Amino acid sequence: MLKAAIDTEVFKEAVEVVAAIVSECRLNISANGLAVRAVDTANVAMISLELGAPAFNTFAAGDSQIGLDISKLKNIVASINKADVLTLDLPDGAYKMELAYGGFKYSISLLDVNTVRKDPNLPSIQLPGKVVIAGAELNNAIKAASLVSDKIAFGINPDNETFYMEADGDTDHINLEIKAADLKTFIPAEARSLFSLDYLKDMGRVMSKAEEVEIFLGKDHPVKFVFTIAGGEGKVEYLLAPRIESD
Amino acid sequence: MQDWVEKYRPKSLADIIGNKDCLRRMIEWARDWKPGVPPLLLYGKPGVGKTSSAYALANDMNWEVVELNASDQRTKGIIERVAGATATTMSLLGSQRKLLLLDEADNLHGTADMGGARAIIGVIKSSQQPIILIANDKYGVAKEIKALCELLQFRALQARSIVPHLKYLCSAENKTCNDNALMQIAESAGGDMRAAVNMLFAAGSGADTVSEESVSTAAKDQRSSIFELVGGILRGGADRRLMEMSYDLSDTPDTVEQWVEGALPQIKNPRDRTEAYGYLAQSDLYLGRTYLRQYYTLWKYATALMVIGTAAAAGGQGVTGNIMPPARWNRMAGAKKKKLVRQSVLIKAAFAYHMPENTLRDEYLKAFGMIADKDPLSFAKELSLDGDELDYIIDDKVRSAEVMKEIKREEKEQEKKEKAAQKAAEKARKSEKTVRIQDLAKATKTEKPEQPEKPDLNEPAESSVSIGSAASKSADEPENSEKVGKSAEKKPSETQSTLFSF
Repeated sequence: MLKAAIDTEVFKEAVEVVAAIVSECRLNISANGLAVRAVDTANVAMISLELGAPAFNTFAAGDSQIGLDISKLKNIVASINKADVLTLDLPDGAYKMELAYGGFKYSISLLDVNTVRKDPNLPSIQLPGKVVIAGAELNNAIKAASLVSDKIAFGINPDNETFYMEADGDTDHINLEIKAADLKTFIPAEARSLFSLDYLKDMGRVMSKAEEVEIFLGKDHPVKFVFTIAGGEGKVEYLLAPRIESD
Repeated sequence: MQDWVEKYRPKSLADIIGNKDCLRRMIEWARDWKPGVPPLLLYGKPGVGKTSSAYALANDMNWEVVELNASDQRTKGIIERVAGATATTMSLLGSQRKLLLLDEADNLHGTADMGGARAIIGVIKSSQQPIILIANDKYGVAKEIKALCELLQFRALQARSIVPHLKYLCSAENKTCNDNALMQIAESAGGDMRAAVNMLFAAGSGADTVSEESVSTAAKDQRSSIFELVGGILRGGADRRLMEMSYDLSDTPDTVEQWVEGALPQIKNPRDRTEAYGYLAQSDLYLGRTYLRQYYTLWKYATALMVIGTAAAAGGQGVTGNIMPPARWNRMAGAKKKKLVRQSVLIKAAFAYHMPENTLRDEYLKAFGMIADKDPLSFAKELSLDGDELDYIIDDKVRSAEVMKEIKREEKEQEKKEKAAQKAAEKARKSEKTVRIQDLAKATKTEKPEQPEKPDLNEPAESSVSIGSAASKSADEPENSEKVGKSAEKKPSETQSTLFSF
């Protein structure tokens, strides 16, 4: 059961965060809020989102799990006016969720939970390096890198205390270095991994709105981005597997 | 309720039944895998454990699996994104490697899979992760893909190796079973473990015992083959059964018609045979109308006539020979080749005689052949025909082969002669030149020419002899002038070498 009202802007952001990684997911509903954890078909990126009850204007729910077509939902919320308040209504055991906003009533068919990939276990990986930068800055670096290559390296140089992002194209090269002093947080550790910009582009677009993005790094290890949405009431974690550097 | 195939899918390679050699090879492959090792292509009939083995292997090796099968859209873009991303990234969840499983790799066609095969080739070539491809039909997989893979064939399972597994399932499900019933299932499964387990599941669901009666109702739907249908026609069977068999076939009625046509000579009694051909001819009329009008409802009349009609005519006399693919197919392949040869002959002849190809073919081919028969050698030379083409005109394999030999020999001789002539001509020019240069040198006492030293290696020893012959040749054979001209181009260096030898 779910009965809730939420600002369109907040809901939109939450949907976009998930849609950047997967096209369908299982939505876990509980009295504390909504939660999603999903990996994409290629097992390369993982999203985990916790949208707490306080992010909603009103929220009443019992424990349940539903399958959602996120791409469809994204298209629907894109058409909603920002000022509208969205109400979600999901009766117990229903196969459809009702979305109402500004006079519209949208009834979305849900997916059979068993046809959607199971939620992955949280991997236990150690990522020693950590930096915090503004989301817009991260997105700019990603966009710049995508002009010259299809992959980008994130790394920390503990010797001269810098966080760097660099991309090597066939002909061009781009490098962005940020000194520890200019970063909000800097935990040095030997770290460098290469990532596919295909995935980062979508993630970067979403993260650009976040004021702060925590980046956890290791050596040839996945990268973890942690940031908040909905005024701190929603917590997002992205995990992205590194590319294998081939010569 | 979960079906037993999924519930009891083997977790480890050790649990897989049959095909031990393949499994051993898979383990070796996985253990020694490093980037650059070619992917495996597992092929074999459905239900023999290809997909299960791949998953079990991944489980044994503690690899993640990313599967793309025919239920996913497999366009170029999706393969590149999903398979490409998988093949070039490390694991997210901390396992060592990711196994990319491309199931049903032989079903990569249709508009939805456009460009899919090419994309898979790209993924294989750039992969940093192990890949296994799975196909039912080896020949359905693109040649280029096969060339990149190591092929492993999974064979159908023996009924006696299926039975113990069925027994195990029964005991795991707390069902009592009858040995005969299990044997019956195993045999009718035709080496397909999945079918066997499904049959057992169907026979055993809702009951505590698996008996022979429950098995018979749960038998696998067998698809009839074309051999069964043709055999059925000759042996005579119930009309309804024959029609059902023809519906089962994936062949279109016009293919079936050709099979039936190939089998009709087996009917002994000439009167019956005539009658059978009559029905077949009528059936063929319907087929023709079907295609002419694009009205496919007519197909059923064509089928009924060719199946029931011929069966009635055969009168259940039985199969007396082999049922073979229509001989016409072979003949057509042969005819196609012949047509190609004819076309190339016509093109050559039409060009030589300034005559349209069609006129030549319709009116003069015979005459042309008879004339050519008198002197095949000069014909072959004039039109520069090859063996097959000459054979087409004079219709004599042995002779045309001889003629070809003769032409080869003549060509060689000609070549030799030409070479000699060429050299002789060069010689002649050289000596002429040298004399002139010597004159020049005498007159002006000039320095040596600036050309680098380059002695003529091909210079024949008996040059003085050939000079005379070449000179006379070039005098009375104007076509040699070209060669002379060519040698003239090389003049300077030659000139010098002779200058030194003098």
